[in-house]
Amino acid sequence: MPTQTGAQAQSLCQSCGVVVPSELMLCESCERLLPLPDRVSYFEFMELPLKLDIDLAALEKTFYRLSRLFHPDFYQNRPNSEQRAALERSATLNKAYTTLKDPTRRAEYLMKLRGFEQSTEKNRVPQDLMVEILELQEQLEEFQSSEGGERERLAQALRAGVCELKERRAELGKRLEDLFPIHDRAGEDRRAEILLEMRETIDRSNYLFRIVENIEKTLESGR
Amino acid sequence: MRTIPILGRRESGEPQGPIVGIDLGTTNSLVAVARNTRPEILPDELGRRLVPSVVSLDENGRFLVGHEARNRLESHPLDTVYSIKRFMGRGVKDLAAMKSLVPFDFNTDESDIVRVRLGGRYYSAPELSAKILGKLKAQAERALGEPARAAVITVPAYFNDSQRQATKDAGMLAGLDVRRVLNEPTAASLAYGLHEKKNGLVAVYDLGGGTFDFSILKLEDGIFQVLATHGDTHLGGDDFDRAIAHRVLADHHQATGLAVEDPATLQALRLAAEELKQRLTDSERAELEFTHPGIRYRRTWTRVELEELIGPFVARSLACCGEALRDAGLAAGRIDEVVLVGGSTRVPMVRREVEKLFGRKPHSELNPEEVVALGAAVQASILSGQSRDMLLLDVTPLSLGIETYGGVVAKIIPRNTTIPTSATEMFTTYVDGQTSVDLHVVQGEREMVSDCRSLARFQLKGVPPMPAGAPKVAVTFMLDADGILRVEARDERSGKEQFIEVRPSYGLTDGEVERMLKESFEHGGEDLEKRLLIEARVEAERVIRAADKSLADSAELLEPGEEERIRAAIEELRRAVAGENRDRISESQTALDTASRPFAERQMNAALRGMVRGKGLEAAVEKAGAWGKNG
Repeated sequence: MPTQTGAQAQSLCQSCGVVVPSELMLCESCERLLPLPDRVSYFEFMELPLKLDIDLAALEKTFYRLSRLFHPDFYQNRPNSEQRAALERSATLNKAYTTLKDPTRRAEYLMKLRGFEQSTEKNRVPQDLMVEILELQEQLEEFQSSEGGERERLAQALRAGVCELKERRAELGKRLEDLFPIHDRAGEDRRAEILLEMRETIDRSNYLFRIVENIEKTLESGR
Repeated sequence: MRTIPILGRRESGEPQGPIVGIDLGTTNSLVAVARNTRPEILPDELGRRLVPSVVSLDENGRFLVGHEARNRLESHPLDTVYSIKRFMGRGVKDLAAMKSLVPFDFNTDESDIVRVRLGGRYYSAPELSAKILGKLKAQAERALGEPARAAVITVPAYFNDSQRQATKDAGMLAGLDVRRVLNEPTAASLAYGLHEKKNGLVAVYDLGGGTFDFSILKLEDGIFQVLATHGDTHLGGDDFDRAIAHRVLADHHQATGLAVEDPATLQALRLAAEELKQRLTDSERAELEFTHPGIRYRRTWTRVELEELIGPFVARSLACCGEALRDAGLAAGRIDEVVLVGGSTRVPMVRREVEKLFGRKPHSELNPEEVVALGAAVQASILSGQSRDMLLLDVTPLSLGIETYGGVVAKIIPRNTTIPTSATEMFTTYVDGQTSVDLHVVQGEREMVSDCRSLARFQLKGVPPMPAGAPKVAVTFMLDADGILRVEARDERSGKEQFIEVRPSYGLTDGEVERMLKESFEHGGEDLEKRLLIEARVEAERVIRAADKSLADSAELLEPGEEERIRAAIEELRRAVAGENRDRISESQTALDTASRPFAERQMNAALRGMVRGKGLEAAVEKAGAWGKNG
């Protein structure tokens, strides 16, 4: 079980006094659940090294295995303190799994852990898409005030535009995941640079998502 | 959402009876139990399995529940309440849409939750549901021969926090420790999963009397993970019946120019419509003949005609399926198995449309009306520690948010998040010296607070007076495994727990629940006494059986004269059980305990020695401990 934070404080089971591995905080001797110490990262919690290129099938297996250990269903006949610990632990597990299984959320979580808070201008129109997006926005405004055949023509143009933007987003998603193994292999010196590129990729993807959402909503509601 | 522990909470370490599984339905309810994970429905003394979800107040101020109450629907429409489930966790403001559906009378205070008027008093939906749960509890106890104190109760997956809490409150008022509020489609999948033992993607289409749910699950080696759920808490077979009744009334009005307004007639018509719907399930055409004061109607209906009427409702359900598939990121064709649940899935059109959507024949091997209760019983056996093979991982059906500036919702937990889950938000003050902060929690998918469902308002109190923006209070919103919200607040500087006052928007307050519990013990004195007598008898009979058995099993450990003393005590207890005096039963039971204690201790020691030699110390100690509790 790899951990990256060096000096791990060992914990003792309050019930039987046995040393408990701090990632699990489940006493293997008497099976009691201990409160989880603060600041256990989702990576540690899911028994993973601090890397972005991960095996999703293995992650799911870990999720199921830990669910079987921590779910409140299995602690209903235990003292209140343990019921409480199981509830909190399960909540953490569910959040850890949801965060790590999604590439974007995984990357953002790792950036936060690394203290990489740098952000690009979130609402800036990506330069290479500027012309396209401005055109779509114009069409959207025209659509809202148009009628009949003209309206239908604009709707079709907008749908085609949305398709294209979705493709662009898919490319960005792929680019992000291509960066993962590069990040994992990189030394300290190159890390910031790669994280920055990931940040930009995510921000652009989010920007496109908002545009797509906005157009689809308008097409759906007709206004 | 409840913050104060109330009477009737379970203390860990208390002896465990069986946990029953209850399907508290809009139209019918059921109770089941699983022994060795094999679930079975517990019938009443006449062998009837369904309990109609109907409550009626008779002329003597006595509540009738189930079949007896159902028989009074036509004769006493104003005193007989049905479809109570539709009013759970709802406010008077929501009534507009429902009032025309039922004949009974309601309160009118717009700021209050829904209360039904019966015999000059108002009853909240949890109080009335508690009557049904009480009936199911008694039915289970009769069938099991022992008290049932704890239950898993199912709810539509799409129920919000207020509706879930109302269900829990109802259980508490019925004297049940509600160990889990379980989603109906998930319960059904558990019963099916147990039956099929397959891995893959399963969709559950659950159309009941008044609610619709659709859930997509991934089954893998005993884990039942809900990927997405969607639904409509106001869509069900009731709507089909009403559509038929409306058509009849419209036809009648067109032919005669007369409107029908008599509650008893309308009620009878609703029942006739339900029957017509059922007959059109088996045959292509059926005659509806309805004669009541003020109306004579006779016409042959075809199934095609019925389908034209109910088509829009079925379409609404299919739209929900689409939403859930989209949330799960799956195409309909990816689903390996489709399961039909709920009485309304017997309607041929429903089956046909579901089959068309998924391109495969849906499962309905298990009785669609019983499968939810069976699943609840399986979950109950998991919670009681009988089984660790299966585990349900469910989701929250609705996004949770808090109100921010301008009435905009800030989402903190998105819908279809696996529960339990939590989110922590930091709050601060806007004015120098401010000592309290108000929070408003809502559930729903829309952007504006006014379009979402208000859950509760919280007030953080005792914030230390400081310059604006300086205090930092961390508020944790935790959705537990029931999908019910718990809120905690902590001052980040002092690390101290902060007091938080909750005002539920559509629920009973803690004080109200407490008062109702007390009342049920005071006014219902007779009922309570009867219940305690039954419980005492059941318990005494168990003790007698155990004593008889140990006399037979361990005769070699008896001392001279001991057997006679114990047998005399057993006989005395038998006589007490035959009588009506609960105190006498309790005294006789104590006497039997005293008479047999030395013998029981010798027996326990002997067993312990045997176990240590055989199975190891831990098992022996545990076994001995369990013995100790059972006397």
